[in-house]
Amino acid sequence: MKNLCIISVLVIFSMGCKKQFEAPVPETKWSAFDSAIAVSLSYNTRQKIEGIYSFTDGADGFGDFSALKWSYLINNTDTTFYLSMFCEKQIAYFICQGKRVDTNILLNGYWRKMTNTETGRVRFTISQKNGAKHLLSAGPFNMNTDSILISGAYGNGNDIPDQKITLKYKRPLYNAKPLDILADRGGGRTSDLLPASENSVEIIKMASRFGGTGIEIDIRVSSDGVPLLFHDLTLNERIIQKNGLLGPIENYTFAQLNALVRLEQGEHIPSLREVLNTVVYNTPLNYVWLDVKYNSSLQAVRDLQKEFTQKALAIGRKVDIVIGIPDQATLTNFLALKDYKESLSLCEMSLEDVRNVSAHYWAPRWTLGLQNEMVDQMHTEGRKAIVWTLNVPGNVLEFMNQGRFDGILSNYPSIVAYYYYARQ
Amino acid sequence: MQGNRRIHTIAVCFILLLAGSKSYSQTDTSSPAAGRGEYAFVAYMGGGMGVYAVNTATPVSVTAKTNRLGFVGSFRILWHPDHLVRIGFETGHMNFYSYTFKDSAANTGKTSISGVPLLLVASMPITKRWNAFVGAGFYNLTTKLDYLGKNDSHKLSVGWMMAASYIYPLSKKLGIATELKWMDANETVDASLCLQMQLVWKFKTW
Repeated sequence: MKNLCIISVLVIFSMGCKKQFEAPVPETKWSAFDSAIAVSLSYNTRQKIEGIYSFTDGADGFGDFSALKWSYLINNTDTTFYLSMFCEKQIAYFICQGKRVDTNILLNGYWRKMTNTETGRVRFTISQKNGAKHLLSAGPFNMNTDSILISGAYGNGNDIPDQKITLKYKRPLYNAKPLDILADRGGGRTSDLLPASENSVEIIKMASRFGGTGIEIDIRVSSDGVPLLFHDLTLNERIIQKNGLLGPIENYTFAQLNALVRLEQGEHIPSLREVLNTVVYNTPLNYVWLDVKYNSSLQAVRDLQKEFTQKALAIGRKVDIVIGIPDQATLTNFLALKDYKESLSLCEMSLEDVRNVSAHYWAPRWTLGLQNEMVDQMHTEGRKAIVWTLNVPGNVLEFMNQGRFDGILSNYPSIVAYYYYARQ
Repeated sequence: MQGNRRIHTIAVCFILLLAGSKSYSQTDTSSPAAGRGEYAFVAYMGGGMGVYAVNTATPVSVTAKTNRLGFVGSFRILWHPDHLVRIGFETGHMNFYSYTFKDSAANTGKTSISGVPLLLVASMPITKRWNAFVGAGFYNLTTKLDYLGKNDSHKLSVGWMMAASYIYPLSKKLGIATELKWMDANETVDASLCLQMQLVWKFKTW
């Protein structure tokens, strides 16, 4: 009996090793792309590249179609443009930058599948005869006479791309009925092995590349009252690098957290001020859902909401910064604000609660179903409805085709973006 | 991953040691009641030093100096029935590790991580004087931070321990022991290898 126990314990220990999963962004150097004669693409060219494409090569790996959409990131006086290609199969996406070399267009970047850790380099060319002539000209794109064929190769990891991939232009992106595509935790979860940690400034800068038109971020407050971004109740190694600091994040001052705590990928825990500054001045994101996760005064959050809504308007942008009300405690704190009726808010509770706090958005969880009649009621009252958190492609498709929500929150905004832009 | 491997190596060595040991049944087979042997409550009280045995991982943003050695004190109470396996409860206090640091603005600080184990323990004699212990439960961990202000913060972590002790009898009810123990707050990846001197007191028999 004793020996049996010992052998059992040995077996448990031998099977107990934790596998390390990684999906590092591959190296994307390409001499032709990085050469001195390669120049940036014009706005006109970029706009004409956007659309729904079919895979004529590479469908086995990425599905039948892809939605190509540009986004940008402003760094001081520089703006970098990214072409995202959203695919259905295995929630794959490509993220490329584009340049013109002579009469050709080069697209260089990487791909990733969100259902696993597969990733690799990709290089595309649009030659003069395959559409670059039209794309680089000043004239508009004519679907009936012009065609675009994007051809290239992809590889695994840092391998030189050698597997053929070709995309053929089919139709423009759908945009008839607007949809807010909200990226959870600022762009995605740390556990999904993205290039930056959840709720960091860095992931927020990437959110639009992943398909997000807006973000949801988790708001807590430091012991000295600074609103900051952090999902969990306590400091833990799911999110941060080990450093000996434990317990609720609310126990530490922002200065202590800023100096000593690093998120999983090395970023510091950002303040809400820093994040809103980034959203307004550096990204095309137009919606920020402040998911309040603490139980005390919301005045500091409200002040930042007002300040950055005004700052966005001052530079000609409309950014909806919305205070989330997930529970009764937050609702009470929200009602304690003197000007709560003027504050954009999102209530996850009952329709009665939505009306009581004059919320502009109702946000039920997806497990409650489509709730079309209730969504219609909200629309009748001039409110909008957002559903959270849809991650399974089939569910996203169901809510998009059969539901009437104005926005979808997901950890995989790229699949929401694919289904949305591919609509006909 | 490296920390896990180290823990597994230690665990496997420990278990192999037990497997290689000669099985031992109760030394005291006197039978105060018909059909059973002696029952007893035994207290183990001890103190010693622990060396933090996994990655200390101080913040990358500061220059830190780490101290892996810390005091360990433990109190365990076990019910010794008339068969091999004894069960009971263990608590105590242990300093996992501490570090002093200086930030880029030359502000200095100190962080220390300690824990109070709250473990259900099972024990088994391996030979006449060697005993093995395993325990599972929680560690109430405390971080003391002295940097731009002082604060204490707590977290309950799941954890476990395993130990081997050699008990030298001083009398029928008293003994002294040396115990080698692995204490592991699994959730927060804090673990120390400890060496303790213990007083073993069989304070109640029936």
